[in-house]
Amino acid sequence: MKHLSLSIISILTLLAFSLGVSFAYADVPVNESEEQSIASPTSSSASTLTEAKPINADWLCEYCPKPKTLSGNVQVNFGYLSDDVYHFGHYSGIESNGNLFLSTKVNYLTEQGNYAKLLVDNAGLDSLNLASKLGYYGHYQFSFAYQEIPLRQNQALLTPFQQQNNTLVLPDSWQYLDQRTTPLETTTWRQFNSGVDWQKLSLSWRYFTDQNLDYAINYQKLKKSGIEQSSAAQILNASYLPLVIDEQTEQIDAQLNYQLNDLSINLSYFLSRFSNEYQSIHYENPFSSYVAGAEMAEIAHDPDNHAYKVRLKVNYQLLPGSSLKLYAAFGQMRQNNSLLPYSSNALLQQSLPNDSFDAKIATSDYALRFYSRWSSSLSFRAKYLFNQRDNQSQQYLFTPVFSDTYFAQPQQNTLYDTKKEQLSLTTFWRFLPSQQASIEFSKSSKTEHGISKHKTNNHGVTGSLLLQSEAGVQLTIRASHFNRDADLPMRLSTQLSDENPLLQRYNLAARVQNKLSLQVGKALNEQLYASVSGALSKQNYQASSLGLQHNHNYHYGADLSWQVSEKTTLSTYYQIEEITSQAKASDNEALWTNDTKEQVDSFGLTLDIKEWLDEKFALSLQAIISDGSSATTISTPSQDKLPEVNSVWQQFNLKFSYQINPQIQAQLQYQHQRLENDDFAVDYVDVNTVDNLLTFGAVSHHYQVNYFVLGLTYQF
Amino acid sequence: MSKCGQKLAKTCFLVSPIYLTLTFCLAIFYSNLAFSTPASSEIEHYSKDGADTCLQCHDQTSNFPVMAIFNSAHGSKDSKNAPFSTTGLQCEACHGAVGEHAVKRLRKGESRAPMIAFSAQDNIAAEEKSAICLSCHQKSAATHWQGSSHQVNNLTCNDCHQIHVSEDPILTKSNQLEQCGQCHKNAKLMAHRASTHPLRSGQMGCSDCHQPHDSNSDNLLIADTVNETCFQCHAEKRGPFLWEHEPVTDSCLNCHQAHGSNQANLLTQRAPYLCQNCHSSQGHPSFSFGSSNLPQQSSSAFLLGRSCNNCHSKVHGSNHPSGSQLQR
Repeated sequence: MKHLSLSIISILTLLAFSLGVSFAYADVPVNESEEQSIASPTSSSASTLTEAKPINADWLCEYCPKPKTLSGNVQVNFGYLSDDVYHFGHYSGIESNGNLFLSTKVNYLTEQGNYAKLLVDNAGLDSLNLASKLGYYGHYQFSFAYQEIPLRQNQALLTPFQQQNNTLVLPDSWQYLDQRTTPLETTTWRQFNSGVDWQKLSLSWRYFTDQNLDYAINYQKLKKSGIEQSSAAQILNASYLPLVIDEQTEQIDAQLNYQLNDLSINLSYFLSRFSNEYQSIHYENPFSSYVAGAEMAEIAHDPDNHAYKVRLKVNYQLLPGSSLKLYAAFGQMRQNNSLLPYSSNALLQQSLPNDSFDAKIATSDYALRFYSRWSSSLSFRAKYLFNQRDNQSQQYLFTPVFSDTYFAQPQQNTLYDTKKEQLSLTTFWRFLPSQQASIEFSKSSKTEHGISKHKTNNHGVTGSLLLQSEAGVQLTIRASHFNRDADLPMRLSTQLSDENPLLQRYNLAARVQNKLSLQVGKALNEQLYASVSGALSKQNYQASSLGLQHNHNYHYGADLSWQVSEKTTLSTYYQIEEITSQAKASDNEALWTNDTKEQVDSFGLTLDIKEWLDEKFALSLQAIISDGSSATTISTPSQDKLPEVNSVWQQFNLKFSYQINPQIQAQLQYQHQRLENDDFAVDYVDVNTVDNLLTFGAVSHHYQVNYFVLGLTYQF
Repeated sequence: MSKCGQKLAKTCFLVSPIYLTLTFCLAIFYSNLAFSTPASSEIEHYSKDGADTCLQCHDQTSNFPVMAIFNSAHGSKDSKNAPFSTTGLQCEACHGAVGEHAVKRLRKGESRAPMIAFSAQDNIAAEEKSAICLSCHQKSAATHWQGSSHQVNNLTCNDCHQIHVSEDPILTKSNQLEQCGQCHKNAKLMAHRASTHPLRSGQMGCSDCHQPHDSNSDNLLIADTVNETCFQCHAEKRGPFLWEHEPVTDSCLNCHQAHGSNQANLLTQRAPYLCQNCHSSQGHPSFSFGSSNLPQQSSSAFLLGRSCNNCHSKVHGSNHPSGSQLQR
């Protein structure tokens, strides 16, 4: 509260002061001294109207063409894929060779400003995109969009489980995995692909009245269906389970805008409702049970839930150079699903403390922002933000049944509350028309209630410098230093074992953060622009003896853009990023350390030739390489290095087009894509690798494809 | 260096009263400077024929073709408040009064008087250029530009938007990665990593998560918090769950890198090492999972496959009364 009061007092003082200055300032006609002033007729709509009549009374606009009533194109494509590659279909929807798909764009526009637009992309593929808009410019707009996004995870996974309604059952002849003496034989197992198809439907309506009011209603329905990879534990064993997904989310966002001179008010209501077809799934235990009755288990799916939020935004432009923005929102997130029984084991039945868990989280968000441009050189911004997550759910004492085998210690559900506050004050000083310096003082705090009470205070300073020389050199430097203090956690719950005082979770731990970024760009001549950039970000968690110790990130690179000729452009970039982190772990003192080093090299090149060989030929080439590696070294104290995890993603695109006549164009596109993903944790882990783990078999993320598309476009 | 930085950070709010006083003094100084500047008495000269004057030179064959504007809202004659409506000043509504620019004949060596060209060379302050667009587009409170992060960093509307086109490319999601990536280079490159959102395929755009004109949250997010932004598509993670996982309730970014990662599922680090950044004091997590736990040796379920998630699969929260360990 102390900070809140201080913030509000500071902002109000500034507001009062700035208003005084700005009012005085507004009384005097201004000529921005060092810059060319543009006293635009549009800068005030009222003055525009009064001045416009005599000015444009005789303007006929004879040279202005009438809008083309009907325009657009239709593109028919035939694609050929060198191989059936499931991963290539991730997002693209292209996963088998020989596919025909269609794209079209149709625009209808009348002279009166009525319009209709239709866009169809990838009709015939699983990545269909359909969008249309109807409206009357300046009056209303209705839009409709439907999108399919295929998410492909893994192909040809193996599982002994058969799906029977809401239950995963094992074959009758199943022999428990921990009682086998011979390796598992998978020839009779079910093969399936894991992946989820997203279908997104959006409808929106906007209406602009003449009485300074706008209405907007947006509706969105998102449906996800498919099979996800999941897993569940049985004491010391674990099994991978194919989880059938059938979920949908509906959202409505209704907005009302009111504008009167320099005041604008926006009131909105947001509602989101998530529903899951399955509340849980039962599965047979592929391992032998330690106790009778634990042959079948149940895991919970994500519960149905809903959330709403009411938001009010008020923006007031006090004077041309000053504005005040107020924002207040409150909402709720709720879930009231019936609770599943503690266990499927009939021998371990016990009554629940309540039939359902009426979970309720109240959210409050406030913002107060003030911006004032005191002169052409100096401006100021103050910002106060407040976010609260207040978990108002009930607390009950549960007696969990561990792996349907034995009762664990009674335990109360923990309610996590979070409160975040932030205050920042920034001054921008433009000492020359294209040179600007800024400095920001910022202070934030986060209080979290859960098992313990944690409070962190983060304060620091950010400076930036934007310079541009007459020779065309642009320099941008940003630097920041933040220090996060963390009080020692105050214990709230007595039911759980004590947290190790040597360990502070990294999102709540004391931390020093330094950041620096620099970018220099120069137009070497009228055709060539080059830039180099570099950045570093360091987070050191010095007060914590265990857990994350530091996390450093460096990246540097260069860009080049070259207008080779009037019809040819070339651009390229190269960047290296390095991420290092260190964590220490053990029970009571740091016995071992893991150091992770990740490096990602990125290269991109784009060449566009609008006229190649002939004015009817055009060529476009794009190459992108992202080459990443990640290695972990364990010090125990002897160094033990885990294999590197490598991930190389390469894409090469070559596109030719030939204008057969003004209406018809033919295109030939070649795409090469390669993903190599060497991961020791996944690549060689089949069903027999780990005794107490039933996997989906050895999977690989490698693929390499060549994809050709032949297209014909008719323009009308 | 670090101690010095800490001192600076600790004292920055002690310094802030001095800083504020200094700011006030500077404000007064600059305001007085503004008061003493004589007013401009220049009279603006509009063209005699409006757009007909301009289009004689600036047609579709010129270096900067403009005719496509007539297939857009800006070029519509009947559209309310549009530059080409009956009350609008056509080209001069945005580019300013033509003045001496339209002089028919130039002497040798003479160049045309400049107009507001919305280019980097026109030496006009960014906010003044944006003010031209805002005189019509200020209406929506959701797009209140003044004081926003992009505005204070000297960006103008035309840095992202194109006007003389039938459809502004930035409004198409598939173009946003390239356009926003011109400045936000690192975010663009992250989208080209092995695990990403569908940004490079164009099914998602930057504007699905960010509100470039203004926002009340950090990083110009469309919702009030990181989690609420993610819940727009990942509502199944919203819960509230019976058994919550503390870092999940705080921020999805504690474990995920939204723009793209080299690790699966956009994680910042791979399990078990990501989990061990916090879980290192109780039970099996304190083992050092090294090369002895690899396949062909004493393969360990704690290191391989889904690692910690082999058992703790409900890492985002569990609604099972026996799910306190996020296992079911």
